[in-house]
Formats: sequence, C-alpha cells, structure tokens
Amino acid sequence: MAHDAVGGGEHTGHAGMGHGAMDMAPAGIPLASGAEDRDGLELDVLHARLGPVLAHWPSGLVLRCTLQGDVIVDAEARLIDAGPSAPNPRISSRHLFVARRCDNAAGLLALAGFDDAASHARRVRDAVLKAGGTAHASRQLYRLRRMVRRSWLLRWSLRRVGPLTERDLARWHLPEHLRGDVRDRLLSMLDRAAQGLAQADGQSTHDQPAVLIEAVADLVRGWDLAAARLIVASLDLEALTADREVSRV
Amino acid sequence: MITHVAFWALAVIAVLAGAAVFIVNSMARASYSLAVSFICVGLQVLLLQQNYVGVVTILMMVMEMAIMAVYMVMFMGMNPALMPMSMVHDKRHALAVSIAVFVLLATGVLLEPWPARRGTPPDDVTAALGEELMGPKMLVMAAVGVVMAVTIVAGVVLAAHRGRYDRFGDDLRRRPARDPQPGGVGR
Amino acid sequence: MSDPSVRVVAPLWVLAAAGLLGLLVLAAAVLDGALSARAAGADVRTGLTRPIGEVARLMRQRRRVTVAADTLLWRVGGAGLLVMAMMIVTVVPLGDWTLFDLDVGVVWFNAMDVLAWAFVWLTGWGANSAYSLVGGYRFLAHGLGYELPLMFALVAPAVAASSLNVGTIAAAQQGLWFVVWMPVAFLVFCMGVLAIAVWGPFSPALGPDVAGGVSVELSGVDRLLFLSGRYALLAAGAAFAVPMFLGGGAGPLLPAWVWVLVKTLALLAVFVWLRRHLPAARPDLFMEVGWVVLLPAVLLQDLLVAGIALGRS
Repeated sequence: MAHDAVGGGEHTGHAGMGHGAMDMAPAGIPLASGAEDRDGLELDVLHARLGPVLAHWPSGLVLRCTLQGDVIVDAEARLIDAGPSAPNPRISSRHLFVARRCDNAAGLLALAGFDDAASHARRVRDAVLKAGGTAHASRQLYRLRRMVRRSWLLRWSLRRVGPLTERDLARWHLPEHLRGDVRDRLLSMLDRAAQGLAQADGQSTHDQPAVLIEAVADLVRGWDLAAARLIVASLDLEALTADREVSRV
Repeated sequence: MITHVAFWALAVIAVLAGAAVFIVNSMARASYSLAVSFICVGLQVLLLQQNYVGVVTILMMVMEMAIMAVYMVMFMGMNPALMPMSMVHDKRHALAVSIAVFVLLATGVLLEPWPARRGTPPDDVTAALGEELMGPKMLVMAAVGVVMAVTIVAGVVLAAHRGRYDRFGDDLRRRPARDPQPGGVGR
Repeated sequence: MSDPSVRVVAPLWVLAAAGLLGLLVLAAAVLDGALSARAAGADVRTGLTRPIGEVARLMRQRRRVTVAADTLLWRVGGAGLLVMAMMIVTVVPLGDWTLFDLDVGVVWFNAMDVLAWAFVWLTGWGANSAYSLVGGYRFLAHGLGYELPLMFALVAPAVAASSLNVGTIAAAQQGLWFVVWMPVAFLVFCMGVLAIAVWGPFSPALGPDVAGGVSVELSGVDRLLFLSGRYALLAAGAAFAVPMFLGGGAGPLLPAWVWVLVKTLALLAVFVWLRRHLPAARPDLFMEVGWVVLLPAVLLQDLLVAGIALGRS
C-alpha cells in the first residue's frame, strides 16, 4: 500500500537525527531543524523517504529526500532487493518491452492528473499482454499517442520540467531517448512502444539501457515534489528488475 | 425573542473563542479560534441588519486567519502541531493592560446615556452607514485603498530576493529566464 | 430589499434542500463512476454501483489513527466542506422559492467559498502527516491564484443587475442570459467552483504524487464526509451558476424550478466529465496564470460590463 510507505517513511525518517533532549520530541517525534532554503529564508528541514513501494513509482527504488517545504533540496537514491527477476516464459520479451513502456506512460499520465489518458495507456498495456491482441493494441496505441500529442494543457503542464541537454546525458551516461523535458520523454516513451509493437516477433528488441541510480537523485534535486515525481516517472525505468539499473559507484 | 437569544449566545461564544486564543497551545488552534470569534461577531452584525458588513467581516476574517496560520507556522521555525507552546508573552503587563482597557470600555458602555430610536432605519443601511462614517471624505478613503495596495506591491518588490537581473541576466536578454522552477506563463 | 419575484419558504424546507443536494451528489458520483468504468474498459454498470459500494465500505471502515494528530481540527476540516455546500445552497432560488433571501447573496457565496481555505488546509494539517500537509499548502497556493479572479467574476453579474441579491440577478436576465455577454466571468467562475471542490485541474492537493495529499490519512466516515463534501461543492457551485449566469428559471414549457434543476444537472455533468479530461494545473504553474492572465482578463470583463450597464441606465 502506498499509504504505508508514505506514513512510515515520514515518521521513521526522523529516527537517528540527534536532537539531544527528549523534551523537544513531543509524541516521540523529534522536532525538525532549520536551514537556509533556496530563497534565503530559514525553513524547517524534513527527511522523508520516497519508495520503495508507492503508486506510479518504479518499485524497489528508494529516494531519501531532504525536504524544505515541498522542495527537494537533497536526495540520495538506492535500490532494495536488487537481484535478477524471473522472466515470464509465456510472454515474449518484445511484448514485455512494449507493456512496460505503456505502464510507465500510464504512471506518468496519472501523476500529471490526466486520468483518461492514463486509463487508456493501461488498456493498451493489457491488450499487448493478451495473446493475439497486437492489432487491437496498435490501433489503441495510435489513438493514445494522438490524444497525448494534441493535449495543449498537458504540454503546458509538462514542458520545461526536468530538461536534459546533450551534455547532461553524457554526464550521467543516460540513453539518447531521455533528451528534452518530461513531455518529450513521454512522447518518446510512446513512440518506442509503437516501434516495439511494429517489429516482427523474431527480431531482437533493444534492451532497455541501464540508467544510473545516482543520476535519479541528481535529476530531482532542486525541484518540488510534484515535479520530481514527474521527472522520475519520465525516466522510463524498469520496475521490479532492479538488476538492470546498475550502480557504477 | 429568538434574535435576542441568538445575539447573546453569539456574544458569549465570540468572547470564549477570543479567550481560547491565549489558552490553547498550538498556533493552528489559536488562529482558528480567532476566526471562530470573528465569525460570531460577523453573525452578530448580520443580526444588526448590517448584512453587507456582517458577511464581509466573515469573508475577510476567514481568509485572513487562513493566511495567518500559514505565516505563523512558517516564521516560528518549529513544528507547532507537535510542540505545545504558550500563546502568551509578558503575561503580567499584558493582563494589567487588558483588564484596565476592559474596565474603561465597560464603564463607558454603562455610563453613556444611549439615545432612544428616532425615526425609522433607512432602506439601505449599509449605504447610510457609509455616508455617516465617511461622508464627504469618500474620495480620500477610496484613494487610501489604492495607496495601500500600491504599498503592498512595492514592499514585496523591494523585499524580493531575486530581481530581473537574476532572472534574465545582466543584459536582460536571457530567454527563458533562469528560475528555480518554470512558471505557468512561460516568461 | 427583497425581490418580489422570489418567495421565502418555511425553514423546514431546509431538509428538502439538503435532500435535493444529496440527490445531486449521488448523481455526480454515479456519473463519475460510470465515466471511470468506461475509460478503464470495464462494464459501465459496475461504475454505476461503485459509489454506493464505496459509501457502504467507508461507513464500516475503522478510523485510522495517526501519531500526535490534531483530531479536533482534522474532523472540523473534513466535515466542513459539506457544511459550506449547504450554506451556499440556502441563497440559491429554486424557481420562485428560496430559503434565505439575503440582499447580499453574492457576497454570502464569496464568504462561504473562502471557508474552503480553512477547511482543506485544516484537513491537511490535522493528520500530522508530511504528505497531507504538502497537500494542504498546495491548496492554499491554488487559493492565492484563483480567489481574486473568482471574486471579480462574481462582480460582473452583480454590476449588470445592480444588485447583490441572487433572485434579482436571475430576474435581470430575462431575454439575454449573462453567460452570453460575460463569458470570461462565467468561465472564471466555473474554474473557481472546480477549485473550491478540489476537482479536476485543481486536484494536486489530493494528487497521486503525494499518495492522496490532504486525504491520505482520512478513513471511514471522515473520508466519506470529505469526498461527498467535494461533490456537494461541485453541485452547489453549479446551482449557484444558474441564477448568476444561466438565466435562473427562465425557459420554455417547463416550470421554473424544473429549469433550474435541469441547468444545474447539465453544468454538474460537465464539471464531472472535465475531471478525467484535463491534466492537473500544478499550483506553481497556475499561480502565474491566475495573476498574469485571469485577473486582468476578468477585470477587463468587469470594465466592459460596467460600461454597458452605465450606458443602459
């Protein structure tokens, strides 16, 4: 449950922060300490954890965030239970690839509050995973891409969030398809799903390149919680296959 | 009869809620008991048939307390939901001053010979009250409102941490502006 | 001051008004359930019964307890939205009848909608959870963006009818509805209604990115009250728009009270439908739009309306 992860993270996040006297810890929760925020005001610092289990979140990823208000001033990422996931023999890797892209797009759209498109993306995912649903799925996917591309309100909401230039990509060894802002990445996610669907079954699918876990922490630093959630969702990570997102440090 | 009972009940609640501001030990509760006190006063003004003034009192005070709770929480620098804290400072002097003021005002109320009603209230009591209070100085009052708004804007501009040179660069040519997070209009 | 076209009914009719509001809430919830089920590709009928099942589930659910919660303020906030909606409906005339013929009904609506600032924030504050507090502050940030445009949107019909009484404003638009010649004010008003109901584009305070925001720790009856309060605010806002912009009970054939209900239901359906079709307007984006675009636009609208009203008199 998302609630449990959230509630637990909030309270246990304080544990281990030495505040000395217990009388400054009403109900057993130590008070927050202050620090200067990005506008030069002194603001309380809260340590909270995002993940490992949270709705529309790559499961297994844990972000330990230092929050001031709802701005993430510092973050540290790690993976729990990293290990090989058992491949599902009944579903081809190509279909899994497409389904994962659709699922990630659904998560991103849900975080952006575009519920209709999110439901649509989930239906495409289900159609892909169902045997013999490819033709139906590609029609649905075409409609979804048109819906997402045409929504000017979605463009307004996602543009200029988490921009990645060529230099940023090189710095964090990120794959080429993550260039641009969150909206560009959403469109590229759907495009790659369409490409995967159009390929013949025998053809080898490109393996999703690994994304550095440290990069995730760097990318969300300085953004507020809502934007940070959008940025993480737009990185199109593989959920539950923690072995793919390697740490090179 | 019902009006009288309601008036007195509201008066008692208003005073009690006002006292609660200094008794409760959290800033959110203090702010909102003040809001309750003001809402009661607003309803009393409604009973005095000053409908506009009464409703506007409720409107302004609720909004004000919502903002005030935010500022109190923001500037006190502690998590006040958790940390019980006293809402009174310099107790002895404050108590002396408030009792003295109360006695003075109460004496005034009791000793003042209140006039009996002459004639009937006008159709539009709000307009009549405005005329009575401000009369020929209406233009001055209207101008003061604008001056106050301008003062607020100027104060915010002067206090702003980042100016346009921080956003657009020294030659004001940088586009898009350098902001911690982009705004909604794309300036 | 009261308008002769509107009759004040006995106070006991408050119960009927509450029942009517309840029916509107149910209709809105059923419609939302059906639209959600259709979008998910499920049988629409499962969506129709979903609200009833949800009510039954929440009535039986145990209350969740959080550490060091401010229970009093939390409960007040959760139940407050429903009270707000009830207070708004009291000044809305249903055809010829009204519960409370206040001469400053428009200001009354404004005073009631400002209560959302208090109630939503208190709900977020009381639970003592970081995510619900983030949600509460998101609502206040939205409030700073939408409240002033909403206030000035309410000014336009009042100026055109030169009255703050809701019945008089409805009577002033026989022939030409205000929505026709003050569309900007109408759109901004609808936006304000969505905002006080924390609905659709204005739902980041309840966003999935903060695990439900303000409502994250709400459970059982508290959650039921909060959620039905949101629907009730949508319904009350739609009902208030009818005398303000949509001609009140004006319409052919049917009696006035039926027309008020039909228009209310139609606007309510549009509000409900919008939720799934519009992405969220995050407060950091909307703030600038509210002050830089909406406020000047609605002020220009007021100026235009004032000019026309002056020319006509």
